[in-house]
Amino acid sequence: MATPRKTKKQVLFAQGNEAVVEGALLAGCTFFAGYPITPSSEIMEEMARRLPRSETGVFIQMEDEIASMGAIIGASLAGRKVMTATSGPGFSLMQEHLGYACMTEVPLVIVNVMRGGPSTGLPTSPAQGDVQQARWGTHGDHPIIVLSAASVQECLEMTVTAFNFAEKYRSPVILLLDEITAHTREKIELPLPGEHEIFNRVVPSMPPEWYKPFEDTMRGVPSMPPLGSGYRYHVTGLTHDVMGFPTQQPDEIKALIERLFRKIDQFYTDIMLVDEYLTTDAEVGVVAYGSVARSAELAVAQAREAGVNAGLLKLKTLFPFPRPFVERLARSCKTLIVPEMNMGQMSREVKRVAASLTHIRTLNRIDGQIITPSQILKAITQG
Amino acid sequence: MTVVEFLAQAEDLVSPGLSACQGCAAELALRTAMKVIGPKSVVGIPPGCVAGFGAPGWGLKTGMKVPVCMPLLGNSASLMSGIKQAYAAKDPEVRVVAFAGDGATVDAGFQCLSAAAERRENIIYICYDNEGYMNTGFQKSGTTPHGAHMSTTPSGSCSQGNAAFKKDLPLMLAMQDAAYVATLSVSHIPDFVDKLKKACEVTDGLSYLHILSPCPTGWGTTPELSIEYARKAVETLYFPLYEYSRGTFTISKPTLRAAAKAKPVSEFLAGQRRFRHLCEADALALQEHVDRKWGILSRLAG
Repeated sequence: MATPRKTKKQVLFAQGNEAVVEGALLAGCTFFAGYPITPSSEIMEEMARRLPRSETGVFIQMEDEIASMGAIIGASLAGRKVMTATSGPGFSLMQEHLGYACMTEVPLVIVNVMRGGPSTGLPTSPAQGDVQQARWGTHGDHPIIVLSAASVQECLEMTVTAFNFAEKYRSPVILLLDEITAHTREKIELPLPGEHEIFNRVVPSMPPEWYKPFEDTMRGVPSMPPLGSGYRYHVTGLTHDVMGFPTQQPDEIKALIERLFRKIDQFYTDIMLVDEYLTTDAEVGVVAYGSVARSAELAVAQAREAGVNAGLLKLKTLFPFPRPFVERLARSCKTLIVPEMNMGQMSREVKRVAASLTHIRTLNRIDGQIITPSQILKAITQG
Repeated sequence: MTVVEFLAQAEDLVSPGLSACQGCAAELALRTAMKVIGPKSVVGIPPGCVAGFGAPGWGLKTGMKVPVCMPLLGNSASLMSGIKQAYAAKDPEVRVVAFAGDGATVDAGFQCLSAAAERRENIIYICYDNEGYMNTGFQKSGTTPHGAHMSTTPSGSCSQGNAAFKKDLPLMLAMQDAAYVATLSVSHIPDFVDKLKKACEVTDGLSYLHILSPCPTGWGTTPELSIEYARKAVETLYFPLYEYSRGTFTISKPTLRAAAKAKPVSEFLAGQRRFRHLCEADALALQEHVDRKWGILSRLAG
């Protein structure tokens, strides 16, 4: 007799940070290493309660964020789905390891709940000042996937997506939240089993002696066995050949770096996620992400009531930058407004791709306060 | 001059009106330490309770009467090394002090503290150890005792609180041959003052002072009992008072007296909310740990 399908969704009243934990567990995360830091600590505290309940779950509190990254990279190499969570100061400490994970192609998820900066900054206030750091914080040319979430429900969903991308593309994935999204409590629904596709990394199917750990393929993403499972697998931050060993050969160096970029770039249609709201006939477009996108949504609705054809492009993927969507909106609008809680980090990207297509206006707030709907509405009605 | 007379006449270099929790031992430790260290000093207070309750200053209403800065969680010893080296040529008598919590000392800041001791930087590094990250939600730190219920080591069906044992920083720095190492308790102020005076006299390396700082908010005790818990920690040998200098360990008098008829650790654990879930076996594990550590220390001092 078939077991009755569970069809009623479980409803929670949760913080964004708690929703991240729900998403991570749903995606199959069994390993968390971290170091407490406001405003992300609830992710760690909830993981400390939840992970030990499962047979294989591992939770470790590390001595700092450098060590947190070391531990999750190790666990990911050993085959686990892994995550850490932090905020700006900790994210800065993680940068060397982030490059190591890019170079060694280790799947992992970093949640960075952005607070005011630079440095210790504003531990309990929202900001979006780490956007370009997420893209370029670690040294050297490297591709990276950076996601964001605007609501508590999205925190859950984007965490699942972050794990899927990490596993699918063997890449570190950064989920950028802000303090408002992380600490706001609202109603969320837990997805039903099977509702979200869960992707697990591809493991090699050939005999160990045929395995080339960094072989180029059509996908550009090599298969990844757990370290110690019988497949010879050399891991190094040095530039390496297809066998993983250090190389100085120009052709091999070029091939590696180009593949690292290609494995992300060629799948941009899968990776670039946006939500469009009333953009079809929009004359004034708003490009926003994170909690600002929620203010923007209300502002766009109010502008419509006032007779202005406004529309919102909400970026859920920040990098690779969703260029085609921004270009399309820029072509149909006479003005694009980019509100964000920094001095203009994402508007730089918008200007880079759309400066010749439309008029671009920035709306920046760096005083530790949220950007309100009325601020955005005012910018929209001014055209 | 007695210690009481000394403390009564010494200038309080820390402003009144700090917003520490009631019964916070760290505030008492800071005020007492600064009375001994004196006004010719520069102080660094990294993020933690003492920085949070306003010792480096929120606005111009609070702060200290000496230059004070707020380094990062992980760089107190290196930043203060820079200040000391910059002053050394001009005026070597300027005392450079770090007043850091346990998280900033034994976790994130350990690498630079150990390196500063190795370079024999002439700074006074004081750790106020309240056994956790107490100003950010009571997460465990490297000095959180075994069995303690903290927000990242919750007790429950599959955990009895912190699985690890308290990291012994003073002993580690003694093994590194830091110029002067001592453990201090706010329950034994004459000993406390004496050790600070010795730290101030050191000219050839790093002084490391480790103060056990009862935290009513995080430990789950009532504010008026802070000194009593500090005393119990000494009397049960949970926190032995001793000094290390030039290859010699010396057990301090309060601990020598306590060792003669040491009380069980359970007397220190009793009444603390963070330990209330502990069963007898857990308490025994802690007792064994204390006995083992005391055995090592008494042999070193033998």
